Amino acid sequence: MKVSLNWIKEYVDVEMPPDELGYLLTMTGLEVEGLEAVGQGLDDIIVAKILKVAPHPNADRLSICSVDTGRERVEVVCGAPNVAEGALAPLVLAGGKLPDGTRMKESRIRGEVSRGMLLAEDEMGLTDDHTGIMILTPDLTPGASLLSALPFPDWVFDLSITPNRPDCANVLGIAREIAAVTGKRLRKPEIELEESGPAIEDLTSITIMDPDGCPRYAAGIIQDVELGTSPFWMRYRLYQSEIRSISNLVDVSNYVMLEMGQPLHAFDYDRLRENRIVVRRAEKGETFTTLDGETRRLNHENLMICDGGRAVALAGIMGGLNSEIFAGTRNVLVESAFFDPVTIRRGSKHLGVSTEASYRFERGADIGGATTALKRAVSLMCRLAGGKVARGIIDNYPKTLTPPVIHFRKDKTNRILGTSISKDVMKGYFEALEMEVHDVNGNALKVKPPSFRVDIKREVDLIEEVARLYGFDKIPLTYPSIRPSEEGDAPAILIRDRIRSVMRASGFTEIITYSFISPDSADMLGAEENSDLRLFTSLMNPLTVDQSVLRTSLVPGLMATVKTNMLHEGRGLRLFEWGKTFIRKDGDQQPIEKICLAAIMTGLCQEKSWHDDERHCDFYDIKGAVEALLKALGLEGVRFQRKNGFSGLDPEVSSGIYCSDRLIGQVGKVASSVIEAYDLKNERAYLFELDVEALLTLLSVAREFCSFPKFPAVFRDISLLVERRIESAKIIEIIRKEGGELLESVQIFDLYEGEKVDPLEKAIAFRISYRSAHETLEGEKINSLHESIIDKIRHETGGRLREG
Amino acid sequence: MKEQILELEERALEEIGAVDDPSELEKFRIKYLGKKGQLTSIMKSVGGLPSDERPKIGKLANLVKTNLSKRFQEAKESLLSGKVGRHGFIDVTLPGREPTFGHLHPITLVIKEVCEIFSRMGFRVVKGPNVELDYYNFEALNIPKDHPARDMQDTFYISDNVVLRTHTSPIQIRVMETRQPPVSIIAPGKVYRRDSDVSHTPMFHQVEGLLVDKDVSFGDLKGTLTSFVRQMFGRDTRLRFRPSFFPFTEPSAEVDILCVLCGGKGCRTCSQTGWLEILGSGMVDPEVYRFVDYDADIYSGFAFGMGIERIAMLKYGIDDIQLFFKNDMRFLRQF
Repeated sequence: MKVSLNWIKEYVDVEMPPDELGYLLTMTGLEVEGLEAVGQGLDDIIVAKILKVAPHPNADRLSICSVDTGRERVEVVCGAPNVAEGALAPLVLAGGKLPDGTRMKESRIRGEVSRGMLLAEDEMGLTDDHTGIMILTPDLTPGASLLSALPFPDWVFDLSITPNRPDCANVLGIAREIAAVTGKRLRKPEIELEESGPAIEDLTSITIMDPDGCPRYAAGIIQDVELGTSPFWMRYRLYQSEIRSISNLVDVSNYVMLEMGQPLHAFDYDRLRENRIVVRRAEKGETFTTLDGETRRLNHENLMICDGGRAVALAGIMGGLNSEIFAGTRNVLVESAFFDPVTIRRGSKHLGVSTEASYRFERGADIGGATTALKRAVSLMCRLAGGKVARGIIDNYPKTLTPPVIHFRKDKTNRILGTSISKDVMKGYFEALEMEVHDVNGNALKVKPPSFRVDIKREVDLIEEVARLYGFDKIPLTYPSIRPSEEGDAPAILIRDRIRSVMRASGFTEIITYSFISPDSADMLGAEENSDLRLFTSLMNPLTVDQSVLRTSLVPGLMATVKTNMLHEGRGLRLFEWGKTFIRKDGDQQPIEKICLAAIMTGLCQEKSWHDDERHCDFYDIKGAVEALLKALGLEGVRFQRKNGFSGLDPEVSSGIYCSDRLIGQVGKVASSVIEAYDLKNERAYLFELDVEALLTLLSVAREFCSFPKFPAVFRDISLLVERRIESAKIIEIIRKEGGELLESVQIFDLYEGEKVDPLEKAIAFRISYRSAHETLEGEKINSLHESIIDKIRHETGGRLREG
Repeated sequence: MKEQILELEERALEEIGAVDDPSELEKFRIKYLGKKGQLTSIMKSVGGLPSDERPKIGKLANLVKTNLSKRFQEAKESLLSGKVGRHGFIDVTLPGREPTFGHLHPITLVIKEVCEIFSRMGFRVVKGPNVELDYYNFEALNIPKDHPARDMQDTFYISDNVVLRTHTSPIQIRVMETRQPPVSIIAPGKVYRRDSDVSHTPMFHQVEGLLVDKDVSFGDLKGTLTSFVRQMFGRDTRLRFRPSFFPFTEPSAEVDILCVLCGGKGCRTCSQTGWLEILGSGMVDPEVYRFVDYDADIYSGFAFGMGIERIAMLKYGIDDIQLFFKNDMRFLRQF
């Protein structure tokens, strides 16, 4: 809420400078988001008296005004329709600065010399009025500075009001807070009311059909008003609070809302059928045209203000076109009501309309203050628009809401806050906030909050008031004694950091992508009809289609990121993401959230340098990365096995990752269809995905130390020619099985496919290390074992030893 | 004799693995395979063995010789293909063969730092679901349906009753539901709000904290968070606690630090206020205890939450929140 400091000062004395007041307000809970000086750049503007107005010889719309500047008489050309002899208006003379900082120059306008400029209110940032020049009050002296003539200097505070404090969404409320923290007295506006009209009961009646929706409805009537423009001071304050000036009657209702927080509405009394008010719920399907010209379809959530025959306003939200104040309005009925917050909120949500009034009603208006605000509005309207005020008001109050009486304990308060504030000091705070306080005993108080403090219902609400007024900054710093937990962090959390650091050490960079993706993603990955990748969880209200379902895989995020980086990172990319996928589970409200890890590599694996040639990454680079990771995590018994049906991977170049016969992930080359779908040109990309939760269940925490071998190892090589499609793992399995307990390790140290061998064959060489835990191995023993291994391989694979 | 040969083989293989210079390679050849080399002399001596051992040892020695010769050839080829530093002059200014490291996302780094600070103080790291029931995200946090506080956060809905969590606070409820005090947890995670413009992304990260025990006071909240802020932003960081409103805490406090960019004079980053909001906090509202069945007359506690992107932006001087999720390598490489 924006509010003028000078307005605040009408209700409370402020002695400190505006920025200090701003700090104080912020530290009291009314956060100041902005503070701006008004009237900046007006130093060179003076009050001038228009002595003579003559038509411009060359332009119909312009006039030549002869004005008294207090020192001399000068001629200025003016285009405003409201120039009048004898009027006082702001003037900037040639040589002086205009509010926007530019310097005024003497100029010739259509042939006539103009030695200055008469200003409109908007040209000085005072209001948005540009209907003519600003006409000042006649008591001012020509030549005086405009700043001395207006209530300047002034500042506008932009305050952020938290939803629990509707009582501060008005100037009086803000002043009340200032008074409470500075110890000053609050001056409430005085209401002078001369009721010279007929008794109100003879003029109207109020019927409330829905007392839950409308616990209180008060109304007053003024007859024979004269619609007009509001005076400058009112328009100025409304403008600074960002409310448009409409007419004196409407302005007053807005003004009093800003002043006291009570939303008001002025009806044209004569346009109300049977001149009466009925409050009821809308019928489903009923339509209603609000004063902004919109026709709205209503339902039972909407509370309506009606006259003898039809709806005339959307209660608490907006008035109707059919009953609004217009140029011909003579008699006004002013509404000051209290509407149920939830009813107004539902109605406003349903229609998608939020107004200054609905904002205040939703958060809770002051049910006890409805009639005071009504009288204030009626008195101001009468002051500005004349007319006779009807005798009395109607106050239909079917559902009395009584503020709670709260049992408050000093000790508990000090214990919660970590303070030692005395009961008397606390009592003083409550009284400053207009609460009714009674002593119960040395420790306890009975506190009754005022009706405008809808946020105070419980003891803790009062504890907060004590903390606020005492000052958060004065509460001493202490340190809790935290009892250490007997359990460590969850395994998923422990492993997360290890995985990240291994991936980083393997050259992969971490990315974080949005959890929501496009529903096309499953198609782009070529997922089968029954694939989990299609079990999307959809958002009801997505921002865009591209972010309308929760991801079922991390791959789309990786692919999109490769695309993002392709333009400027052509040389090679290694990326990984750790995050959740969301697989819809029918019958459950929430999807299954699975922690996954996925990594991708494209382009060069090795850049050209003085020591190495450039090399493109291939399947074995990504496989090596996943092997290194699993090794680093201490996962044993990992196996790779060709398996079809991994969405997005080339079936010829992909493998399942297994551990203890459980599929824990997949690794392979990204299928060319996927590369195409993501528009990655001819890039080759390789990726792996791991199901981290499956991994977690397989990891054993315990590690056991093995003592070093006591006897030497013996190395033997085998160089073979085998059919190409025979997998190395098969040969190694034979070696291991046949080698038995003497076999320590097998390493593939050479592999050749090409011209020197049969095209259907490959040459593959193994280095075997034999070792016994009990003795130095005899050459004879090893040789025969080695031979039998070779025989077994020959027999089972059809391979043969490679000569030379 | 056999052990001797095997030992020699092992030694020789080890040596050749370490050779990185042609002259050393030649020395190796002479030492083992040359006319007076060690293996050669062993082979010469085979003739003097008893006839039953001769073929066995001879075969072994031959095998080892073949093996070593082959390794020698391999080493020679690999050395000859090299170009640099083989002839005595090492250009120390040439760049070394650096292993390539990746980078961790700045959000990860900041979350880690935050969690570590609180872990040291005795908070345990826990997690919760991203897709959350209305009950945990709102209801049990004292944000009933039709309450204006729901306007504070624009929510993505999965169904009328299921949302993408708008904050990490539901984890508080999930933890308190399953255990009695004392509770001291810290919970990092992704959160979602239906908001996307220059200063908002529809997904971002928060870290939530909760401490409930006997006699926990607002002073303890101030002490704990002051210690955190100083560890995070530096020992001399000036901070302030100011009253605010969260439906699930009372009293509620926003924690501001003196603007790191302008030092409090007022600038664009701090919207001319001189202060930067970095944490929301407060004493757990008794209403929340009612939902999780804690006795508010015995226990008290505080909760806090912070936006990680905001902290990362301040810490690293990042001026555009969108950068975190574009994953441009030119950005990521800087962390």
